[in-house]
Amino acid sequence: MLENSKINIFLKYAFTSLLRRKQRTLFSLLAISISVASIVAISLMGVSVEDTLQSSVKYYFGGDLRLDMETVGFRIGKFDFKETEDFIIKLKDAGSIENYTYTLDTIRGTDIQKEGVTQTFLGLRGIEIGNYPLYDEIPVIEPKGVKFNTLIREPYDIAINDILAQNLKLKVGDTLPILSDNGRTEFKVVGIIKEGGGVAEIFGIGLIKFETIMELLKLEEKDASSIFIKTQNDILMYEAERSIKNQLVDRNKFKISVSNYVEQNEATIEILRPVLQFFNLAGIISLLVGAIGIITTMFISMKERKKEIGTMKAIGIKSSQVVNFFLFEAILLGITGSIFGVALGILLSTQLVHIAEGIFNTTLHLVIDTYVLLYGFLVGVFSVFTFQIIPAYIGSQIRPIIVLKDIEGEKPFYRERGFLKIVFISFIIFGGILYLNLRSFLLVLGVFGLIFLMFIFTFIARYTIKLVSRFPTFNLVSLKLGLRSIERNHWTVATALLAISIGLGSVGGVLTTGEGLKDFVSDAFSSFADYDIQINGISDSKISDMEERLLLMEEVKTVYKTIDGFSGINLTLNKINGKPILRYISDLTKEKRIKAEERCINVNMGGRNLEFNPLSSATFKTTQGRLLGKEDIGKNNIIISTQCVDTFGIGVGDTITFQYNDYYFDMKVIGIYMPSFQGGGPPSSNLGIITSVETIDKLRRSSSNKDFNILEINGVKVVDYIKLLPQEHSKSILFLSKTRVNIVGLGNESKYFGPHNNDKIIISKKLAESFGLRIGDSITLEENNYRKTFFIHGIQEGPFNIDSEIIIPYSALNGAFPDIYTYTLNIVAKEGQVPTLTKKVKSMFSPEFYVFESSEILSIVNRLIDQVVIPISLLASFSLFVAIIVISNTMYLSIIDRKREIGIMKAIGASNLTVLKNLAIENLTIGAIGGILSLVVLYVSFFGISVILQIGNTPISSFVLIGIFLLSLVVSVIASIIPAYNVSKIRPLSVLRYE
Amino acid sequence: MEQSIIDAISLYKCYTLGNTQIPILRGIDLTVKKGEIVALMGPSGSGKSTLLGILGGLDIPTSGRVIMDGIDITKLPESKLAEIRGKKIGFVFQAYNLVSTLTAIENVMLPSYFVKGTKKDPEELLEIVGLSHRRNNKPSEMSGGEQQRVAIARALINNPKILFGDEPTGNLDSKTELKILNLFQRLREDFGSTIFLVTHSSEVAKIADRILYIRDGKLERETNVGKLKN
Repeated sequence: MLENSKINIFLKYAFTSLLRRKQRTLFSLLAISISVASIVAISLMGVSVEDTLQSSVKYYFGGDLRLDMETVGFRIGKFDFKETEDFIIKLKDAGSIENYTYTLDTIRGTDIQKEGVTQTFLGLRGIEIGNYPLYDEIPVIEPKGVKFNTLIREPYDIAINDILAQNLKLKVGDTLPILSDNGRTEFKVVGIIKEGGGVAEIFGIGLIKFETIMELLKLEEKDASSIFIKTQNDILMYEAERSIKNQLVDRNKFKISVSNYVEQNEATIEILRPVLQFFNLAGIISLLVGAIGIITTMFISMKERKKEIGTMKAIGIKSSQVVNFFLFEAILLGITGSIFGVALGILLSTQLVHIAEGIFNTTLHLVIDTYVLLYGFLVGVFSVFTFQIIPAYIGSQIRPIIVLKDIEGEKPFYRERGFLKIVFISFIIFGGILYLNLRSFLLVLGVFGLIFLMFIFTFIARYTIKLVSRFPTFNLVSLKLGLRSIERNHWTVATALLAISIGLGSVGGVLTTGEGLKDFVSDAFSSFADYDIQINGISDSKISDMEERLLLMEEVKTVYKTIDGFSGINLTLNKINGKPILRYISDLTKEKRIKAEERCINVNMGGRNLEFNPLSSATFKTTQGRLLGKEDIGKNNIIISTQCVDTFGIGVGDTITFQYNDYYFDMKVIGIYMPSFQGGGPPSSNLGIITSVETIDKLRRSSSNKDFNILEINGVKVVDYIKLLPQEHSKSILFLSKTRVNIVGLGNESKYFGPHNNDKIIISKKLAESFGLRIGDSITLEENNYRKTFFIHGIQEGPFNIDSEIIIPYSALNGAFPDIYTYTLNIVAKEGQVPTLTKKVKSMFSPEFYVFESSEILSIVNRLIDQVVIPISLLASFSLFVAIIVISNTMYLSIIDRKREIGIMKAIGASNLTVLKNLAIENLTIGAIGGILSLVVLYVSFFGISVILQIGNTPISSFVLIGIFLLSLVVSVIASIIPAYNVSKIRPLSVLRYE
Repeated sequence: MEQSIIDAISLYKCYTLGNTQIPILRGIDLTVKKGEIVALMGPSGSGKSTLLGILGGLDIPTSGRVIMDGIDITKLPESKLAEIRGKKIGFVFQAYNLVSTLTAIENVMLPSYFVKGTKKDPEELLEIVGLSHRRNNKPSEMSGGEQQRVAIARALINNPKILFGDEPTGNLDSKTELKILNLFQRLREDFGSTIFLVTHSSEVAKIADRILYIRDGKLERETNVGKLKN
């Protein structure tokens, strides 16, 4: 019975103590609630995201299996859709798969004229109506209540996603003009849907009928970028995956990437994990800031109850028992605060889910996981308990003599042996709580490191306060009193400053990092996108005329020609200094070998217009040799980046042999440069190989494939000719559509044709058999309305250069077919003339050509950065909010400490106003110091982040600096509102009476 | 021969304030016998509270010994000292020092939760101090005198060998003071309690058997009132 009563006493004491100090308790509850709420909200969001992905993984993936081909028009390898589809149909007939569908993705331009619309591109996806998607349904936003299957009916109906609707300001019923090889096609927007994936996130995407996209791309046969397969179960899925890989990839060597939803899911979660960890960290930081407040409050609570503690000890209660009194208080506080925190957290998570839905452009369903709620609750209770251990211990060490005399014990508490033990235990418990939340020892150590920094910071703050308090006060009594009292409470004030610095510093840090990222991206972008406007797809016959017209415009600064295609040409490394590449790699160290093997295929070589767009030594820092100059135009000289040197160990003077299709050529390294930003060089140029534009042009004319139409054979129209063929030759039908021709140049001609080759061609055996052709026969080829007749010089085993049936020498084409190769014109505008020039150029050349503005990409990327930065700022502002509470608490407590002093001031004639003035000065001083310290935190944290992300040094905008400083002052004013109210309540006489 | 409850031998106490050493007690020897009422009087700053604190186990002297009931309490570690405070000593303070959030009966019972040993019945104690009707009231609901009486009851719950009082009537009016003093006398008469009081009040001195005078950290003189009475 006695034991029961003891617990009762503890509980009653704790409960009534908390109730007695209402404002104090309220502040602590607020701090705890917000900290717990942020942890709960973030965890719930994480769980919801994972759950949504898990339950709809097949929907997001598109099916059980997915086959991805490179985009039509950008393909390097071979792919036969018909053969692939036939195989899949066979699987379906055999019952191995349940269903399949296919999509064709592309990017097309639009010239939509609407107020405020600057985007000129969109993604297009051709789908099988009624069969897409394989799982679930696409959510339809507009018109409401309509199913997706019923939306697209007509050939020119388009269903757009909400990003596209937003970017192009479209509504249901609007017209969306799309530019293609067919010219300008007007589509009708029939619905707004939620569809994501790839380019859809950036430009937006529209879904149209598959037949229509074939029409737009001028495809005569079906082709696809992705094929989706549905299987009855996972076992069948793996089987189907195996057979597809076996048959289509390995055997036929089609360049298809086959993946299943299980590995995709795992991959997504792998990426999600660090993101969620980061958000959890933000929650922990809120907890830490809250901890500052709670610990400070409890310390002061001890100070207030010195006499009470002394009495307890005087009547025989041991130190350990005294600790229990305060721990019970902590538990009560923790339980109440955590309950509120959990409730608030659920509320917050609904908001966070909305924001996440906006960012990831998907529907998330909120999962209220009881585990998470319980976890958040326990974190709150245990954290408060842990935070209370040290103050409780210190309180328990108060000497009982205090009850008779106001003299503290002689030994400072931190020298007590037991104190260190207690601190150690608290850290262990707190570390355990952190580990449960962050699941990473490294992060837990990181948080401890942060706590350590906070301690150091508090010391610095304390000395700053001492310094400030020595400022000349110009005989202003208020200022003097204010500074003195700040100095007296230096520890409390220091912790308040810590809270405000973390709160403001983290918000400022996040915003600045966002700006820093934007600057970095724009720098990176401008170093390789050194043009304002770009026009693509200009053929030989048109380019000089366009160049002339552009140069006549007064807004134009320069115009220079480059090759179509962002990354130049795609090559394979064949030899280095004559040594075959594999032998060369085997001489490298083991670690380098793997990397080198990966990097010798799919090597990009970029073409630079050295005459009008020379290489700047600022962006390309030479470490060896020299940069390309005008003397290198058209020569086989290259410069490489230091990454290439790191991978292969190549130096200046070395010769690299490259393979381009079936053509080999040597290039000499004349210089090595270090790119000005990480991942440097032209985009996707992993080795940073650059040569002149003229050289690239020359190279692509050395061996490339192009489609031609066969018009006549031996002078007879091909349709008529076929009718004359015996039945077996029905195979020739295959070649009625585009025949692929391999155009060879650069000396390769003589290899095939000898010295005279003006109208000779070589055909494959397959082609010869299909049309019954012999050497000496003639074929008339047509391309883009140009035509020429050629004579068969030889018949060889095909196909040539991967998938061509005819070899034609370049010299034979030259003149007859001027539009085989296309170019890009890059236009640099004079200062401030970009918008005017863009309008002019668009009106002149669009829609015949794609006119692209470099600023478009930049604004999209900036928007993406904002989308990430804003929610993170929101999280950082949790800390700020808690910081405000902590400061209010501190100021409130400092008033309690000085009730007597204020009472006396009033008794000797000071008015409420005077007292408030003193307080205001004090608080503003704290705010000012806090502001400066926040800026220090900001600089330090930003420096840290920029080192981790390696985004270089961006100066922090003065806007942010001033903003933070002012915010600090504002926060300290807000924090003093309640204490000011308390001040006005203090009656002068009441404090003089003995309590 | 009367048993001595407390023997203080050669007590010295210095306090360190910053860099200065301030001597408070400069060699005090005294004895308190069982059943005695001793009053300690002296001017402000003479060291009364300090001496009381050391005798009552609230503080440790810089040098010297205090033997309580045969044990040298100056050599005890804090936890053992707390036990002594709980079992053998009862304290009454000028400011009553009741726990404001607990009721009268809970305040009286408070020490009994933490100390093992024989305990008195709290209801009985409240009866003795005449406050049974106030058992469920909080200190804020009672007068100064009533609070002090609760404090006295609290001091007695664990059957202490000696009751210490630090200006126990300092906050009370003369009428209430007399009531309290009567109570002390009754305690000594009915229960044989030993009582040691620090006081400014001449009224208190009236109930004492011995009055000790302290000045500048030394015992100046001793008046044996009891002997006088006898």
